[in-house]
Amino acid sequence: MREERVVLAQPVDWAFWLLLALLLGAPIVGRPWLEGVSWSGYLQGFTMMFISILLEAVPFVLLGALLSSMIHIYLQEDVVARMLPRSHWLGLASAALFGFLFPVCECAIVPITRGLVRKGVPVGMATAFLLAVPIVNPIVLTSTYYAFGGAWGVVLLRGVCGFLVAVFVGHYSGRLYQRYNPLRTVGFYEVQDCDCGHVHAHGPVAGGAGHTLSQALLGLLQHTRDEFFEVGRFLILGAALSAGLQTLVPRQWLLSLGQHSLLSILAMMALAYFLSLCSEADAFIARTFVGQFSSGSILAFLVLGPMLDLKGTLLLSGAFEGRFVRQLAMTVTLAVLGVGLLANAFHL
Amino acid sequence: MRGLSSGAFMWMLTLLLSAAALCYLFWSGQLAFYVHPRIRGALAVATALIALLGGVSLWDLRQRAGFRVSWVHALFLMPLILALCCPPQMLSPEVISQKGLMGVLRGHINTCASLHGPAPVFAPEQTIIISEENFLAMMEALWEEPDQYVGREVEMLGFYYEDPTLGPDDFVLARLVMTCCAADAEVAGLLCRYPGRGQLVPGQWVLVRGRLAQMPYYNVAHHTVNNMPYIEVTSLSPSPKPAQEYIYP
Repeated sequence: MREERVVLAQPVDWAFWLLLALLLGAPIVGRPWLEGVSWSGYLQGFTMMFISILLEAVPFVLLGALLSSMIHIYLQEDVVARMLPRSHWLGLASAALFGFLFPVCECAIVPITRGLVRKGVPVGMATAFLLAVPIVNPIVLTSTYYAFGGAWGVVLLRGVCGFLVAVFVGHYSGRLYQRYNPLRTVGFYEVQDCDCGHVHAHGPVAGGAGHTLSQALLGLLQHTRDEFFEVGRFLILGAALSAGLQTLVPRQWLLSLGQHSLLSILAMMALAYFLSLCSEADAFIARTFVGQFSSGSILAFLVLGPMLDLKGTLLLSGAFEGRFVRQLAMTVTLAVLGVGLLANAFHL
Repeated sequence: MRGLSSGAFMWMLTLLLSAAALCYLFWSGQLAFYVHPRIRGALAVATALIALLGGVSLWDLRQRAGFRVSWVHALFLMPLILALCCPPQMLSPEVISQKGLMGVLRGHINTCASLHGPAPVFAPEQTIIISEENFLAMMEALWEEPDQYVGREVEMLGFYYEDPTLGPDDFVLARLVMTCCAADAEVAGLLCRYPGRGQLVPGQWVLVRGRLAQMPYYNVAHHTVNNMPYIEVTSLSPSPKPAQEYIYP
């Protein structure tokens, strides 16, 4: 009874009613008003691209949230510890090649990686896994094969460079974070007694051992729902920024840089970062730049995009500390830049 | 609302409304404006899961008393609010022009034979009709061997696309090719020469009839001068939008 009185004493949630009014007012007031304004074409284009990026990514983000919740609820730390290879380099390499068994794209990989680090997977291995799986997997390599009209060389270069960059950055991150966990401590699951009101699951609690099947399923779904609430916000922000840039910035601006060895690579890396394309689709876009841009810059686009883009950075910053995300972004950028410059130097 | 958590209730509402909006997009066929049809399966599963995630909130709405509505809820509702303000349709001409002509003038977008079948063969006296079904195959054939088609009658439906880099009588009869989603859609099509192009509005759908011709252009992809196909327009008429506005490889 006391608990109910506390709840009743809460102030009226104006934000709730404001959002409801916006939702109801959009088709009644918003639509007719927007049809008359001069920038309606830009808003329409932005909306279409924004929602399309979300729709393309949401199945994979949900899959990531579901798998991450399964890891969180069912996977025990000691099992993880037993499964890890003893050798440092073997661990990095096997993590980077895991995409062949577990082909998920860059939207799903962040929550899964967070779940793995929480269960004690070393940061270096988790980083190699995070960076390589969205590139070194059969789905992405097949789409690259089709996009480049059966050019095995491009497929091989993309796969090998993706693998090497992931192992290199994984090794570097592993050294930096040997005894320190870079997961965000003010995150959703890490605060024990927060007042956010969520039902937190710590370890095998919700739906774990000792529960009936329906309780286990309910616990898993509730956890997935909360994980989606946590991860989805970064997906939406990333999609909005990417769609906004594509709406406002003409792509032609980048074209003048196409043949310069260094500038072309930087331009294509910037494009890969801001477009935030799904790694299944990016090869088809990269192909339209062949010839106009140096080969190293095309390779840099293909390697960087799935590892680091605007949407992914926001997803990462929701899971990991800012310092880790900055260091990761910097190392990946430098490594991919090096790959691009080498490819240009050897006229690959 | 009393006794319930406003944040949990709003999150449940957002999930259920999102699932309902997705169901509507499936039912109305408007999903094709956003994503390639091959993503439908994954999205159908996602829709069911979103509905399920909304549904399971009924069990713990009262346990999450401190969870209040925040800016995160507004973010999740933003796609719904925007979709209600701007109903689904093909990308606007303003945004298409930002993508530029990269996919058009070198035919790059359509040179992947594995994504489409062979180009149809038209008898010499027959008009070449470029449709949604043969668009990619015909583009590839025309760009590969433009001299084979010089003088042939052609008919194609597309939207009017102009670019400041084109001549005063030139425009592109364009289609948008969607590889995955609307954000990666690229402009593809054929250059048209038509003195009366000034009467046309960007984005307007037109049915063009004319003769195929070729002209030399500098191919930046291979640093060579090649021939590219174009249409000498003989007649042009405004046309309603086709049922399928995008081309899906």
